[in-house]
Amino acid sequence: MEGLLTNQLVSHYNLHSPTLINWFIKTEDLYFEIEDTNAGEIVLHTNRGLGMAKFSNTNALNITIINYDKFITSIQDEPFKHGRQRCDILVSCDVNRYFILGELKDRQPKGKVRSGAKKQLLASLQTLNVVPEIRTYINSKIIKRCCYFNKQSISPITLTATTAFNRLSNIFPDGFHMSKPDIEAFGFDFYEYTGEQTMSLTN
Amino acid sequence: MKESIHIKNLGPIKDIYIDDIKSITVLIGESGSGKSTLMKAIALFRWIYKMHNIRSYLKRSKVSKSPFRFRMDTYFKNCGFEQYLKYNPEIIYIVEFQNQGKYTIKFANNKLSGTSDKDLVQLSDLQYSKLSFVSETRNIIPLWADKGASLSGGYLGFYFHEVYNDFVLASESLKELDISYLGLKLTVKKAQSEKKYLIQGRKNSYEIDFKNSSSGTQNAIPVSLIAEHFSNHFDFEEAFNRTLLKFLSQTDSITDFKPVKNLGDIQKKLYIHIEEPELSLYPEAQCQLINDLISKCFVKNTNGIDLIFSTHSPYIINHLNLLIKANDKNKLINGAKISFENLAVYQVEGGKIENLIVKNQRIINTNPLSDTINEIYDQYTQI
Repeated sequence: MEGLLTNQLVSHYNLHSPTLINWFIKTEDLYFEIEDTNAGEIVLHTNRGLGMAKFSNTNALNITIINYDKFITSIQDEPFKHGRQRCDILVSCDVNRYFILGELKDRQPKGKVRSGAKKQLLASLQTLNVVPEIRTYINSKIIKRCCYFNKQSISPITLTATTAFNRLSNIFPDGFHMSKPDIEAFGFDFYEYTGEQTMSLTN
Repeated sequence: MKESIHIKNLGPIKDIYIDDIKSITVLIGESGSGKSTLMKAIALFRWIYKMHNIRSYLKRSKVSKSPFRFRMDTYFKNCGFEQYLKYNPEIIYIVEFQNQGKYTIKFANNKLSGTSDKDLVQLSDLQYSKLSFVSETRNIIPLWADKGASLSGGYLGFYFHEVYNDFVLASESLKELDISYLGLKLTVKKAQSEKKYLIQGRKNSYEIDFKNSSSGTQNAIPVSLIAEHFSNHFDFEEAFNRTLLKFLSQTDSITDFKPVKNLGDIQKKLYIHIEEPELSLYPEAQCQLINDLISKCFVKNTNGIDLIFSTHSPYIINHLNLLIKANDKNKLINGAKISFENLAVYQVEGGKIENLIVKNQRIINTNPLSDTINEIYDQYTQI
């Protein structure tokens, strides 16, 4: 997938090749969480509670996590980059199974986070889908999802308000499959993961 | 019977399509997001379809003169939509039946179509319906009722008078109503030519005029009274006959009238639309009011009801999940339960809607209503 971005996407949009450092991670960990740091870096954690997006990878699939936001940011061509909405991560595996676009909730609350996340996911799909080679790659995948990973907030220990309002995600450990016709038009499903809800990557 | 509606460019609404308006439809969203506009548009087109049914019934009963004309400019003015007309709104309302019957009423380019003689409703599909719109202005009812005689002739807007008329109609059939979730009882007493609305406390501990009760009471009682009236006491036959007589006498067509079908053979439907049922209520009472409303309309009802309400309350949306599970487990929560299949919850935002029903579970995604509390404590931990 990395090559499709640096070669085919760059070529399709007639861009200069970006200089990229530490912009993807590969893992076969059985459980991992992804954190989007304030510096815009993607960090992998195998301990619980440190990341925003949680993955269970019980079959040790070879997973690639691309910092898509960093990739787009690295592109020097302003007309392409200016105002282009992008999601945070792309997740794929080496077998023809998963292709996931992920938006991780910002650490800094900016309001309208939820609707903004959906717009960023949709805009990313639109950017990727017009590149023929990427479209072919995506179409080869069985499970295609746009995911909003919504890390829960922590309130002072004596208050239970956030815990109470967020209980639903503890009752249902899987993510919520929601209706999103704009995204479904691309052959993708839209999922929302909150708190401890974990995306399960299986064969 | 399945209803769908597609609305474009109607005030805050950019493009909203609901493929199947469920028996219980709940709208959430910020103030000004278009919840009320959506609900009013649905109510308006349900009313137009109702009138189209009445006209179809009369035409098929040999009454050749049309008893009325549809005046969209008046209806739009009543709804507060008149300033939206310059943006060329488009509304398509479709009713479909299992027997292939399909009726499309369309408003586009400032013209209404689908209600002419060639569009008449088939005999087998004829329906007689009653609509109620319980507006947020219902809190004026106690004062208006108290001063009704002296204020006659005043006008407080179309929706206030709609809900006031339904309140008065309901209080004709119900002289007493227990509002158990508030620990109160409404009593309607006749005093000379006027009605007096009184509120009694627990075990008759006190009695006060309705106008002097709490704001929560003043907002909740019209909801419960109207719901109880329409779900169990509404006299379809009387209403149907009154409607027919009115139109037949207007057109001087009583002698022409050869009823093609009896009311008993016509489908009947009640539609209730409520703006923010929770107004002025404490969270626990909000949930109890919803129990009461759902119980009246969908558990203890004798008339078939479709209900739409808008809300800002995260408690109510979360409470609906409890009522869904109660139904799945064949239990009642204070007399209430909700069939998951009959429920839709939409978030209205940015002129569009998003369905909050979770596809892979039997629940509503309440996270959008939890964002505020999370953001409060995100900021709390930051400063």
